[in-house]
Amino acid sequence: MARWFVLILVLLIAGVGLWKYRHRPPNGEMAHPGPLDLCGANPAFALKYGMHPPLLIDTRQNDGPGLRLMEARKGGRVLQLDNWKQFGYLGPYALDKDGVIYTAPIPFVNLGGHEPGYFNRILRLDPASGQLEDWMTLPSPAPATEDNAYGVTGLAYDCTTHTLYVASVAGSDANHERGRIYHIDLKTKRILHRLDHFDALGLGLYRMRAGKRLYLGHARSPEVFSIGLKESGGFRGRKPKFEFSLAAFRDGSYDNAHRIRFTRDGRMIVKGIEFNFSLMAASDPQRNIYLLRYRAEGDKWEFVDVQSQQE
Amino acid sequence: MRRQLAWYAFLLVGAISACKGPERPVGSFPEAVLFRRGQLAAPDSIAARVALRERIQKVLQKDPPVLSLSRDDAAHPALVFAQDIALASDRVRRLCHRRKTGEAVLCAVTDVRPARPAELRKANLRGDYALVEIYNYYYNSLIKAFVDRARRSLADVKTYPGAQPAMRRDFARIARAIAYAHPRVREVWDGLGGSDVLVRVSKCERSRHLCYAVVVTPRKGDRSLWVLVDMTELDVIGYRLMPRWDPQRPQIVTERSLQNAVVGATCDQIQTDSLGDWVIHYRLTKSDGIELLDVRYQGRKVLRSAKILDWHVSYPDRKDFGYSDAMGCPVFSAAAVVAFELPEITPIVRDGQQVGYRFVQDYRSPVWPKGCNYRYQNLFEFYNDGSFRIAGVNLGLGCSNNGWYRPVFRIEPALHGRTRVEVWNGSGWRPKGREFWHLQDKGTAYSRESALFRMTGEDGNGFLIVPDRGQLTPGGRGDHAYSYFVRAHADRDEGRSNQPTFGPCCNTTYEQGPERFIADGESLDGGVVFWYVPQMKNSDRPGAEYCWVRSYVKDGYEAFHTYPGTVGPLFVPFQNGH
Repeated sequence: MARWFVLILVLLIAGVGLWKYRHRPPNGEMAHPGPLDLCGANPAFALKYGMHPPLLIDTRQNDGPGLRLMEARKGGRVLQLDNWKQFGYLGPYALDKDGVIYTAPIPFVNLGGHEPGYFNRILRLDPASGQLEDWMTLPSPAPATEDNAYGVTGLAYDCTTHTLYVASVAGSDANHERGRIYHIDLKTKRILHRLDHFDALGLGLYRMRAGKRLYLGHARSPEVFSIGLKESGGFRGRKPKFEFSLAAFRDGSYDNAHRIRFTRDGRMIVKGIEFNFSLMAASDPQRNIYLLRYRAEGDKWEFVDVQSQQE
Repeated sequence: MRRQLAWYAFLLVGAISACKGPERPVGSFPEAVLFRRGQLAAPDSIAARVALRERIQKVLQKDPPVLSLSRDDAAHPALVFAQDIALASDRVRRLCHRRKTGEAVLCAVTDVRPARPAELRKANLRGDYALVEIYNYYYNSLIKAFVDRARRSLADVKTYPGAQPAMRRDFARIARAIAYAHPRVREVWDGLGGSDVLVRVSKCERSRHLCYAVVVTPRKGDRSLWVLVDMTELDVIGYRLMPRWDPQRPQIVTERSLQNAVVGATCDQIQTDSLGDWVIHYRLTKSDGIELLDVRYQGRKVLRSAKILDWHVSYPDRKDFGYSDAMGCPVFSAAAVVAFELPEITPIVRDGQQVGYRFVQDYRSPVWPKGCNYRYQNLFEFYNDGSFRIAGVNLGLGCSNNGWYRPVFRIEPALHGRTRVEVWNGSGWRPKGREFWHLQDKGTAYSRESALFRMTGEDGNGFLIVPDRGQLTPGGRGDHAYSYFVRAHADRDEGRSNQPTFGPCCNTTYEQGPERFIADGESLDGGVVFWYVPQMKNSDRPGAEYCWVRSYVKDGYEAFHTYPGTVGPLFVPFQNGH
């Protein structure tokens, strides 16, 4: 009897050990709290045009459609190739370890002559050639309509798995929240996992002490949620957890978390704007920048400040 | 003895219940209500409000024009000295004056307290400082003056646009009084029964005013009443019933959330109003503005549908630069310029007589009137004599003073049977049997009734269509419109349904969109749809502004003087061919 007991115990320990090994962080450095997209590299083609890193990606629509690459210094050069304008106005973007820029078209002021379903796609800017091409059209739970022409609204890249998280609100309407978060393998273009019934705008990835988390800005409220991720990237559970409300912060407004970024020194930077599933446009948009700081004690986020950002 | 005690207890309970007043179920009140801005919804008899207005007027004559904080209302009375130091400085004084003109603008000290470590870090200061927080009403910004407590001198001044000030206790008392004084708010407030009242700072993101929320939470029940008070205009904006406060998941009411909740709920919902002899049905469409439907005069249908699909905006000095702006719902729509408020209906009075009703629905870009932001209106006028006007209003600002605006109207009059369309040719009415377009220009002739077109039904009843040549609106500059007459096809949409966008932004010719429905040789034999595209050029020339807006200082805060451009035809009915 004792022998059997010892055998079971040994098998149990071995099993736990194997599970932990398989779910270990892929990189020892990544085991510490921190952002998961810091491996993003500058696209190589930009150097051929005389651009000097570090570079910034600009999709503010200030001077028309497409995106721009800017040198991250005052008076820095700006690069925009003609090919980058062909898909109209662009919104979210993410940069991967190879310098590929993923982005998505958005409706701006009007649909630009496109059908509503056009905006549920991802574009890829090749780091070698600098060409922007159609990369993937996402499925939609319901047909897009003029009442909600939005498609892809948020992108976040995970260095540890070389995968992309994509928020799409395609198919949602006033009475039905049909938005989805897709987890996509960048090598195979396969949709690995999917989270349903959540309309998200900004996405951001951070490793907390307790594990990886995907942060989601809710498109229907000023709230930010998060959901735990397995090391392989799959979602833990089906329902994101409420984290905080931008409107409830001192100086906060009834904003939607449009972009969520993390810095190496433990800051969460949330860009808040007004988003109502309309094409309401404003020059000099009222953006608020919310700053939170990671607190290792408690493994949580603490609000620091919000500033109004006028352009 | 026991029986007596029981009786007294019974009376006591009864008395308490009576004192609470009748409780109307919270569910019987509308969930969210907006009140009309700029009109004194709350009576002017609130003493504290009157006193504050008087104090503001006095302060605006002083330099600096600042409402100081009293010792009684200061959270740190020992630091109130810092207020005097800050207000004596030139730097603070300059910040309470308008940059362009030097006019005094209203400021208010909202807090005097020890500066926080994070604030000192941001300001690059070390040491012991008092912070004097001053709200600038005109720029909606927060001034932070750092005063060295030991040296009793001003160290630095920083400005934070859009930042919220701390709540002043005296302002909180005034906000509560203003909220409760509004009859509709009081009805809901009292209907909640015994309750706790809290005032907190809120945000007015669109008006960029100082706003407080008065939160009334009943001791029993799962709802709270949030009343939003504009502390710049000292008026109630509206209220919303919210779930009871949950600190684990706080839900806040701001101006933006309240407006979206109220206006968003009316999207695509058909409303009906009776205006004298008129009955109008209308709805706020997703992206075609207000659509009038089934309009009747003295019981007879006169209009099937009327709407503005788009505003084409172009800037000739910038090639291919322009927009096709759709007006409409603030949520879930393809509208670029959206409704923040409900429509307003007012009487039209001329020479002391009411001659009709005016219906206005307003649409704005969120930060109008900043550059490249727009404000438009649907304007409908219904006159006692049966005539009506379908108009659009442009209130600027746009991207430059060289903007051209071309709103696209679709109007479907209700005439009996086949419609005869005629054009005035200078000497008489010339019938037009086929679909056509027409340009109103300098050479256009008008009938003695100022009409350009005539539409007549089979029963001899119809309308004269009178374009604007400046006579329909004070300061009007005429329509200069392209008109299109197209046969109505029951089996074709041709603009009937909501259009997210319609036609190119920047053509200067008749190719504005409706021409696509004109088929060569197609007869107008049947019902007719009338498309109308006026053309307006804006102007910022002083004294001759048009489709423009200017800021000015009103009681110390920023207000706007608009120079509307109004276009659109008048329909004058006739019967039996006369």
